[in-house]
Amino acid sequence: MTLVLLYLAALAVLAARWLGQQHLADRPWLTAGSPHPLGVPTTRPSPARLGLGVFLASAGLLFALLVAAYAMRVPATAPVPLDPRLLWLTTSLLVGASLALHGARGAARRGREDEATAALGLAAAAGVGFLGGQALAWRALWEAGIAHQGPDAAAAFFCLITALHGLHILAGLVALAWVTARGALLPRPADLGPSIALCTLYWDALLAVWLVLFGLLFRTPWSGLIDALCRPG
Amino acid sequence: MSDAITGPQDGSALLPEADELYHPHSWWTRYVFSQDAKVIAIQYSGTALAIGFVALILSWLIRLQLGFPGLAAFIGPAEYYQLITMHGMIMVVYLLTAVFLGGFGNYLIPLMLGARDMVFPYLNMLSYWIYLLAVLVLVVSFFAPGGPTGAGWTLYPPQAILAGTPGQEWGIVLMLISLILFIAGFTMGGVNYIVTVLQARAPGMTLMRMPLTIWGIFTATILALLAFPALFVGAVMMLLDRLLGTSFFMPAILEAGQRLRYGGGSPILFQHLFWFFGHPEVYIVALPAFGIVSDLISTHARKNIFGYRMMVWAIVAIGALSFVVWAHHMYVSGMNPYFGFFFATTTLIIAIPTAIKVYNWVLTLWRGDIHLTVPMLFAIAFIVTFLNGGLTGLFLGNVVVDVPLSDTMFVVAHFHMVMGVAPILVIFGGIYHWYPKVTGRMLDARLGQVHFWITFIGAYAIFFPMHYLGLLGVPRRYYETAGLGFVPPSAQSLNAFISLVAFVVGAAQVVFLFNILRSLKHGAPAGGNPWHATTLEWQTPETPPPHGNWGPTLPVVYRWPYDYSVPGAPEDFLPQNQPDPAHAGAVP
Amino acid sequence: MALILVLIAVGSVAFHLLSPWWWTPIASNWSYIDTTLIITFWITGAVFTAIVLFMAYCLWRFRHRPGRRAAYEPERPRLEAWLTVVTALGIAAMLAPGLAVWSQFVRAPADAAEVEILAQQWRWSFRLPGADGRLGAADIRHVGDDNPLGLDPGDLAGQDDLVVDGGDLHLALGRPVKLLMRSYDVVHNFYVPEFRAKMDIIPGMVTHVWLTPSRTGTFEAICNEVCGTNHYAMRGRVVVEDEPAFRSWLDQQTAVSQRAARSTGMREAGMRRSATNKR
Repeated sequence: MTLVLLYLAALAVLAARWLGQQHLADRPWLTAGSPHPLGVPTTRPSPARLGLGVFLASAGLLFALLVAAYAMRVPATAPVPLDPRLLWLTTSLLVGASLALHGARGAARRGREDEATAALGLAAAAGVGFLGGQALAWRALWEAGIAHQGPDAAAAFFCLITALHGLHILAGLVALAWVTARGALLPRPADLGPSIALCTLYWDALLAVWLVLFGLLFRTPWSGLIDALCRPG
Repeated sequence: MSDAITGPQDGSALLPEADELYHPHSWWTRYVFSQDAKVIAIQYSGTALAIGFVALILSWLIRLQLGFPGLAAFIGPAEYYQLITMHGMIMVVYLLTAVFLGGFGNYLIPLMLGARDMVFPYLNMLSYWIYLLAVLVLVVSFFAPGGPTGAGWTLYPPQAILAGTPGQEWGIVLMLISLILFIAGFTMGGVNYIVTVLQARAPGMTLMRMPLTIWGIFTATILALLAFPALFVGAVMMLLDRLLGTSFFMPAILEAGQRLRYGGGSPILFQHLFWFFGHPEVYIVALPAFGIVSDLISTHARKNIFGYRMMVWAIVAIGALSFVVWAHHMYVSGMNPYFGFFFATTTLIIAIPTAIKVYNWVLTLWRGDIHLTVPMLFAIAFIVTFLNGGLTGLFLGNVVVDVPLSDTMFVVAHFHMVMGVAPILVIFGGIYHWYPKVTGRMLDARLGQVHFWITFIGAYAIFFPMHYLGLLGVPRRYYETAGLGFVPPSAQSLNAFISLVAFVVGAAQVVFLFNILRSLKHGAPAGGNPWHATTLEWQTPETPPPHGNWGPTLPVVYRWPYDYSVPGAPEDFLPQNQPDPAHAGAVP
Repeated sequence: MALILVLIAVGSVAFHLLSPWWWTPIASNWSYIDTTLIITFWITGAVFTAIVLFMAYCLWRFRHRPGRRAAYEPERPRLEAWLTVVTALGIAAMLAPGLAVWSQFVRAPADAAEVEILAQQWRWSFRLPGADGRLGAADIRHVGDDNPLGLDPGDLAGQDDLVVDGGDLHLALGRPVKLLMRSYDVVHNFYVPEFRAKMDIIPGMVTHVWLTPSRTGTFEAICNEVCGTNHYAMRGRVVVEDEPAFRSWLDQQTAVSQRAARSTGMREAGMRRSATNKR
């Protein structure tokens, strides 16, 4: 649970920093009569971006809990019996999707609509490739007959974790398709920028989650760090 | 309306493209697939109260068996365990959570903050329909082969998915699916509430000018978004254990002498996940109740809430602490016993901000001008029952005292008092308080008094003596205690008494239902602000407020929500959108 | 309302004092638990009565009358700080003894005799160590018709263990015991109200709790964690008796090796019988 508590602590720090700017020590009964006792509000993120952030905070905890459950259930010496090279491939596809989205965002910002749409398509293709690769991994586990058996449950955890992560990726693909369709079909695709920015945030978050999960399930250069965070002692 | 002051428009208070949503085109989009938070609130509350009545009937059957064992031949042990499981699950998740966040949250957040609607109305509508689907799946499980699950509302594996527990075939599967749906639906609503509170407040509505109701609902929503993932993970993993034969929670196990294919799983892992959700869940229900009660007391005592800042800080502190106390439900679960030191300490620390809240409610009454209206009666009854339940929580939170009392009737009495009776009294109080805004008519006060006295005195008479059964050692979740030598016959008489009171209290809820339906047509017209309250929802240009709430211009907030009996003001209240006490006379 | 609140406060205290329902007479060393409970009762009872009576007074004294106007008093930080400090002290007065007793609860004395409790849907079995004072290993893999507790046949330490399957568990008066608890199916909980101590029994692991019986008698042991349809009927008995009586009871128990021999003999007899029948 260390990772979960750290995650919660990080959220608490964010919340505390934000609350610290909200004048919680004010005596509100003394400022009556003024519509703007704190001055004009500063710039804020768009509602959609904030909403996505809140959702990602919640989804992030979901994965943190899965990591904690994995650490409690699976012994440290039990890696998933699967060829890690396939997973390195899918990981690089996910990185590629994020990079393409960043490219699309930059293109949209510069006003290059066609470039942005092309980059979106590239990102979607990489996302599909990622899911395809994960599906191959599931099939390999299934054929080995250990997908849901096996006393250390590492393979079962692999399927569960990648399935939940894959569902989030699928939702991201739907969003990407929608944005791409809007870019390609709308006669005046002027303001794709914010939508692309939302997609980028979402895909970056999913990439970050995946890197943690990948490090947990396989031996990667950063696995030691994750082990230290979720398996104290 | 004179107080719909044209103020500086805050552009970000509202999504520009949302304007076009304010014109529902047909009866269907107005009342059924509505995106108006107020209609969604009524849909949420109506559905939750309907399923709540089912839970009430289940509780009658439970009491029938406990009070008069053997009288109802159709309640065997299996049926009994199904009854208690479904009663508990419905009350905690599908009634309390849904009414406070889906009902009160949807209705009050936009109105109290001076917003036109939730920020994502479409998502809000989706949230309700998924909730309804979750309720329907739950109801279907009653009629599934083998009936609903009888695993206890905590659904501990391995028991929950093994033969030997009723509802093992379909009940548990449908239960888990229903929970997963509920969580998905709630997440949509929850994101909405948070973004609305953060970004759609009317000009001048700083955080420290928000009514405590909003603080409570806002904090509870954050807790819910962080607690439900744990239940989600637990439910998905158990579903896989049940359907695909994985061994997340299942160790090597014998079922009726046969070795199952499971192995290596950890039942305690599920308990950690469950209570990581389960304890914040208590505060998901309690914090909105705290907030609503603060506003009811302040309004009906005509006095500002005492120590508003402390109240806000206490809500935030309770919310933060509620994530580090979960294992106090697991002192005797076989987990590492040294955790007990940590969790007992955190649990008792959380009592301090909670106690401060109780003090401040009571001190708000001091030198007030107390109108004993029906909502006020419910609010005061809440303080009594919550105080009682909170104090018995100190028994159970203190690790050694919990050892003899855990899983006895003491626990049952404690949590019914603190998160059953107390929040439900607040729900009633809130309904009596806001019904005039929702419908434009008052609820009948005399019927309300009848409903209140029977419910309050009755509930206290049910649950206070029950603690003593627990002290005696009577275990919870026992189909019958016959044959237990340490349970004297007098305990059975007490059980019969409790059951009789429970039947009366349950029947009294019909009075409430009748009142609600009758007053729709025959209630006295309420006007816009029958309680002379200060908060924004009472200052709408029309009552009931139409879609969009505020007419052409948003209200501007000039003061905190508790300017009651301000010295020098002509009336004993100053609405939040009142710029200057001198103009107070102009308020209708 | 004020009157009712007074009645509730007075009535609750009166009920507490007059109630015939109180805990069972203690039969173990955990009287500290009862003491902590009493302290908690005093503190919480005082707080409850004080607050409810104060509220009743406010409701009566400050009830609405025509022309009355409430005071305007947003906060009084000194009063709130005082209340916080007093509350914290009260909490500490309950927590400190609680944690002190808990630290005893979690540390079984080294000389405690080990007794195994095996919970199964919906019955209890017990196992006591034989002359060697050690319990042999057991695992679910070894469970069979003639080995319901799953004792490891390869572990010699288990050969002299005494198995009580279906009978009462006897404990010696005044001798600390550490109850090692296992389950092969679902979560159970071993609860003897007179002992106060209890612990869940989790399949796949061994949980434990310790106590010293302090009073002779026969006590009911019940399951206190819902474990399926017959949870309520999962009952057993614990007999606490003085040392000589306990010794003579021990002597009547059969060791695993004898049982095994007997059951092997029975199985052979059974096979002979069925062979006879076929003929």
